[in-house]
Amino acid sequence: MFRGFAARVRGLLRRSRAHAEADEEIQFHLEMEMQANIARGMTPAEARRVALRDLGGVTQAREAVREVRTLWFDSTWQDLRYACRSLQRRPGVFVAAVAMLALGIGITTAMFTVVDALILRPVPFPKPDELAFIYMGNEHGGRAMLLWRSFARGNAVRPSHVRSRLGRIRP
Amino acid sequence: MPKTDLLQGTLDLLILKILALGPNHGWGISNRIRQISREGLCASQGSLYPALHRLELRGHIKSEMAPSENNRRARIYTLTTAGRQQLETETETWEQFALSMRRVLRTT
Repeated sequence: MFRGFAARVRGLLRRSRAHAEADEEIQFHLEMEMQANIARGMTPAEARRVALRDLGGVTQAREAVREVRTLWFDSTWQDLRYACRSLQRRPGVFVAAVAMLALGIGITTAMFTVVDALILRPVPFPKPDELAFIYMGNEHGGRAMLLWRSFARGNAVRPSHVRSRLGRIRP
Repeated sequence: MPKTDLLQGTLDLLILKILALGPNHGWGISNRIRQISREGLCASQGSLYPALHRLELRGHIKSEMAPSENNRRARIYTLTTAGRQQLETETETWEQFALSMRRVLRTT
């Protein structure tokens, strides 16, 4: 298995040379076969024709010889080029695929950004556990948001205690 | 002389055996098979190179370019140790197979 792999790595690095050698191998085979055919009494033209016929497809033989000496990169690259060409022929598929990807990625990113900002990041205050929610209460237990102005001026009824969200009670 | 068609596995076995006799190039292998079998077996040359390619990928044979007849360079194939072992196992399997076939076919 590794020997095959090594041959392929070498093939990638010397691709054009590998192709030339593959051609040479096939040529050699054809020449020898033609000579043998002539020895069997055929004319040179006939010898060549029969040799080609017997080889059963020069292209196939050449591809078979080449294939062992090229790396899988090669066929992946060829597949990629084929994919690009077929996408060019059918732009609708391409557009739909891109649109769906964009939508999916966009929505996910947006969701994550929101979650990240609200929940995952620490609160940007120096002493977050002393943060307090201040609101006015009345006898009936309702709550109302406090107007900052009234609080600052001290006009609001001074609450008896301020309960912070985290349960700390400060006078 | 009737020519029998060769199945994929049998061609591999033949190639291994021919190379056990000595390193050779593609055409030489094809010619030897024909010679030794007295024209009984004629490897379709179209399947020869794919078979050689398969064997090389599996590591049973190795190859290199070398000068040869015709003042041309040819790719010479050699049997590896793994290939030699494979040849032995496959020959045995084949002989078992042939024996079983003969028994069944010769039953009266």
